[in-house]
Amino acid sequence: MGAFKKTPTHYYASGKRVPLTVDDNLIAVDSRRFSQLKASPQLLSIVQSKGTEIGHDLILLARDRMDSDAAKKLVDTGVTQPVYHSSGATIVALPEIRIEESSSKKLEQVIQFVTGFAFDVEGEPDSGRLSLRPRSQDARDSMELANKIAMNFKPISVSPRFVRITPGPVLRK
Amino acid sequence: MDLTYHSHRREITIPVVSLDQAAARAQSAERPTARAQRMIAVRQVVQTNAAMLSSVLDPASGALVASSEKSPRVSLVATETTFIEGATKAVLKTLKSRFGMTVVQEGLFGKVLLRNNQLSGKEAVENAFKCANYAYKSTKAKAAHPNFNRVIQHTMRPATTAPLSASKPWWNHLNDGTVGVAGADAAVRAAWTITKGNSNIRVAVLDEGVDVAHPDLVSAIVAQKDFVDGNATAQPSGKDAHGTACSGIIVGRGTVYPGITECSLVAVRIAKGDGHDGWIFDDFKTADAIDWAWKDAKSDVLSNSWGGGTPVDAISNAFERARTQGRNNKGCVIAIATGNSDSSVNYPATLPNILAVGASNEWDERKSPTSHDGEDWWGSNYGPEVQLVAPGVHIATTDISGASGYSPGNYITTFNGTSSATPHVAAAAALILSIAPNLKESEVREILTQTATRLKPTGNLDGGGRNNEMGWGRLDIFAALRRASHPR
Repeated sequence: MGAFKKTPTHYYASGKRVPLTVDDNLIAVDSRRFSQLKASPQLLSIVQSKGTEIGHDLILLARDRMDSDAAKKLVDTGVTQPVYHSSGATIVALPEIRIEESSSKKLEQVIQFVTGFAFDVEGEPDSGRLSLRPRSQDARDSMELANKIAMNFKPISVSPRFVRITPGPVLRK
Repeated sequence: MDLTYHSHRREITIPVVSLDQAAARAQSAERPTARAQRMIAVRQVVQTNAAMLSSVLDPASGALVASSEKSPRVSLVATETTFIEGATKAVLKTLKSRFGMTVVQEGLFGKVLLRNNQLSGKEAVENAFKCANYAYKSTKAKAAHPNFNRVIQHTMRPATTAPLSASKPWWNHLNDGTVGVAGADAAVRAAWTITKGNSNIRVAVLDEGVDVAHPDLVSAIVAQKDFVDGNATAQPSGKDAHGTACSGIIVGRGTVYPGITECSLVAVRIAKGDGHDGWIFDDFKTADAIDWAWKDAKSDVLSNSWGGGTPVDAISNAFERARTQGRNNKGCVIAIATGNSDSSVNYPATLPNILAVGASNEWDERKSPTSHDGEDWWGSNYGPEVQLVAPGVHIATTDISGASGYSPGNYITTFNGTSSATPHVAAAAALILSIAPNLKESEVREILTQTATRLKPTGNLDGGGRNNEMGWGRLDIFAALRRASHPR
């Protein structure tokens, strides 16, 4: 259950659908999981040398900085997270959802709903906040589930977790 | 008729003309290409302290106007007051007995403004001149001269290669017109005649960390946390100097480039550089940082010189909690930069009920690639969300100490962007709360927007309402504090 592998192209904020554009060039590699695969030390070396660490063990690198075979091989390992560009920022999805809701009853319903998916739930309904993490560790799954929760339960807040890379505020010519 | 006074050990004689004559003279001095521009600023240069702002230009009053041949674009409007610095009580007593002058305003560092309340019009102006000349020649006052209002007609475009503010790094505090338009500033010096702020008021700077050991900042820091790497201190990594620069604008304790307030700093690290001029944020950590700033660190004001990308509920809701539940439900004041891409406003400055801050320059223009300041590589974002603008080019402030940071040494004089404008507004909010701590955040927002100097995007004064480029206008901290002191 729960293995939605198509890359989602929207999410919800303030109850509204927010479109995202998949970045065709950038790849976000989970370096920890990639190392665990022990698939290709050579490929790992390329990732580490040519990419930028953005936290959460993720390394962001551009396809056009490596040969196409290597890029394809990297994506095929399945240890990448979706990368988007939107509103002037690069956005990398992480495998986590945060839900905020003042009604504990509604949160209990969400927990009940989530049992149908391979997710770990953290937090209690009384606290007003839940964190959900897909056991697949794939942000595509968490984004899909976040959208389902937003549409079906309309909690005060349901947010997929993003790392955003924005243009730096330092302005030089 | 000529009027004579003294300044910087020189005797200065200026011909008296009518206001209409001065305006005509200024207009005839314009270059044809600039003729379309009208009087940009009718505002006095505050040579001393801007407590003098109470005396305003009134063309209908027939005030004496002096216009120099050398500077036809600058008209001096004589007022009925005399400025004295460093006068003893005995001197003031003498001036009272000889000229009937009494103190009507007191500024910092022994500055006073004198006036004979029994006189008015031309007689009062001439008396003010006589008093000034007597004080200059016969006493040991540091300065004594008539108090002028100035009418500046700016049309010149400066050489863009020149370091525009190198010799006047405090233009954002007090723009005397050496670069740009006199009065195109945040009226900081004037505001200081009312307050420099209370250390009980806390301003959170959510940024890429702060040099917590910086000599100008260390004593201001009352709380700090690093949400990027989970550390207890908000020290930035590497050359990430942005938060240090933003903080200095608000709370810098130095004498070289002092900050706007003596309020306290809550340093919150929410981002880091990616090594390629980009910034890396984690939405959930940022949301947690916002919650920590208002809830645990008890911040009164949140200064946010960051943004970009699509909205996310986690951050939006954290800001809304700060705005509604912070300060024991009076609400934190939230200032957020609009962005620097000369396009639409960035999230989270698009959120409702916050202060979305754009950047202005020394000419009171919206900072754009074609504005007069010469920084042709960026522009302040604009749109219906913009609430007000504040100085955002050539800002002198703190830099990471030593070799790291933007430049060697402890300071930078060319900080810029809506990033630099936003801390001005945050500082203004902190000063308001220093003198009126029970105001709700919505009241602080209203004061700041309604007292802003109305401007058209081209820098012309505008008596109308808001527009999408300048919002409600350029921040005027002095006016805001006066409004906060005397609520309607």
